[in-house]
Amino acid sequence: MERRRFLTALTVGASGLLGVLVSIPLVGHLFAPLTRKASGADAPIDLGPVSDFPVGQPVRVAFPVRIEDGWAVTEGERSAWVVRNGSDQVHVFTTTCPHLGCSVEWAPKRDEFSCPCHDSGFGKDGAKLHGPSRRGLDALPVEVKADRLVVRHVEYVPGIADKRRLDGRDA
Amino acid sequence: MKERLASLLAALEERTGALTAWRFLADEKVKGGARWAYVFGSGLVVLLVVQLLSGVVLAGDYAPTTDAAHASLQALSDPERSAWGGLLRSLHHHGATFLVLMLVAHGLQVAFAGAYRKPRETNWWTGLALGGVLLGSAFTGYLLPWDQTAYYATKVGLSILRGVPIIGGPSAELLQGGPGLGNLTLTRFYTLHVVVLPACLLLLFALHLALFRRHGVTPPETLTEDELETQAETFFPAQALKDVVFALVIIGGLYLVSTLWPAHLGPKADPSQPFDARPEWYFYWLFQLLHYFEPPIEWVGSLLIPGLLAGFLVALPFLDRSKTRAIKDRLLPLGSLVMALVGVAVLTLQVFLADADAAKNAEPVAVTKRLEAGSTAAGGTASPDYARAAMLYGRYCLECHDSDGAPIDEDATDLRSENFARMAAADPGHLVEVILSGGEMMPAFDEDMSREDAELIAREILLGFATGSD
Repeated sequence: MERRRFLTALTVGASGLLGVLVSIPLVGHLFAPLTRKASGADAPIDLGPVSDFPVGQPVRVAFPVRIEDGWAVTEGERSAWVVRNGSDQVHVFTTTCPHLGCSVEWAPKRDEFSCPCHDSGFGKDGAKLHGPSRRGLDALPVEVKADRLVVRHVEYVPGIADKRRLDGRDA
Repeated sequence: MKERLASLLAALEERTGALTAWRFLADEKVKGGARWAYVFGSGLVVLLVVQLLSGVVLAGDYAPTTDAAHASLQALSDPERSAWGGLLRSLHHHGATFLVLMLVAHGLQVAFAGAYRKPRETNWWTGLALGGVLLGSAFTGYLLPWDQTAYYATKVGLSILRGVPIIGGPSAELLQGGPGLGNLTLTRFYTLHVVVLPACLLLLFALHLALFRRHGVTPPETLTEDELETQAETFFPAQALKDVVFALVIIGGLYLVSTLWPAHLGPKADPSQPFDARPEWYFYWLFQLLHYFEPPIEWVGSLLIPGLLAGFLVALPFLDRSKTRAIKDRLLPLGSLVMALVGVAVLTLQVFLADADAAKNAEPVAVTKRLEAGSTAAGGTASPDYARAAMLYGRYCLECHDSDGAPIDEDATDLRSENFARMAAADPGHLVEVILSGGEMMPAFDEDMSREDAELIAREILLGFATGSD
């Protein structure tokens, strides 16, 4: 019986070792996306003279961006809302709802940015007015250089209360 | 001849045990006799076989990359390349809906028969796991066409997952293959959809069937032991005939739906373009639940209620402490189940109603200012005329022409093309005629809008595309 128990323990142990041996590269590679660093291309984009944008009327602007997507690096398009509130006071917001990532629309009748998914509403300053979103619209980094509006396209994590970059490069 | 066949079969039996295996399957004793109530399980099996077979053939034409996925489905549905590709995709698409409905029917039949009770608890749980795998298959399959619907539905679904504390964020990133939705999401969802989930499904199904054979059907509680035995029939052919007739009706219905409403392929996924994101209809209730709870209690809708519902289903065998299987003894557990289902149905209906309402009161659609590489064109003011024209364009034209004039439907005219510009400049009045009376490929809109509205669209939007000034 002693010999039988020894052999049983040996078989179980060897099988476990076999399992671990095979699992290490599998699990390691499966979890690689969590540690992968995004290069996060956010080169400045010139949206043109600030004075070209109408005061008080949000405009959706689509612009070319470099997109790194897995193995492919392509020229793609993303868009943002430009709101010019005063002569040179400009906000640029992502079109992505900070609740769940739907596409936010300007609703002129209600005078607010409105998400068609769960009816979150945001003011022209991006502040949340109502709805399930846990934060206001995400403002993009903006610079005004010699009257030209320059933004950087950044994506933020939806669904959480604080504004955090999707590529994890906050720090 | 007959003798030869018999000896051949005997030889086969001696070497493989095939006849014994067939008798084991065919002679299953159905206590209390065959019933129509038992057809839903085999209905699920037949639908699953259709999904597996159509899925295998579809996989031969599909390419899981953001570049190619949409185009590969477009080619698949091209009648000039194959007369059957479109139908096959429609069968697979609607098959998912049929499966979900059949799952509910099977679950309800099992619950009302009391088949989740001792000694069949493990079979109830393998059934719930199978249901979960089916919904997972539906969710992962929904992304594969890589059109706007697919993209935004998956984005919303994964964002809901992100809301789960601690594990939500990493789980979503693992499924996506990175921080955003893209190539690595498609390859992962494709692998899950065609390898991992079908494998889980087959394993769980084998377990489910083995457990079912161990305990047999759950006949009406009113039958006595004697009646159960005297009325007993074998599975083949008594129950099998009912199963096959039911399967014919179901598959007939699937063909009918697939022919009447072929699976739609919308514009290719484009995060820069606005889109009203909606999940597939059987996830509407989860989607709608998020409407009612604002921070700081938004987790009630996204986590608590769905969690309670799942917990209730898993715990049902423990919650039902009644002495007998009679329905009158189980009003509380069965009533709770029906109430939960009614709640799900009402929430689902709300989305349909709200969307119908929103379509009527559409806000004007902002036409995107497009910034080409190197240029800096932006701005422009919105007059009331322009706002109305944009709204009309959004409601009627956007089906086939994108908001920048690019064709969405492959037969649509490219409103940015030189040909169109030349035609528009030569005779703007002709544009109005085409909008109202239709053209070669274009439908007539004279019943939807007045001549003034058509003129407004032509002047404010179409001439803008043609002259390149937006």
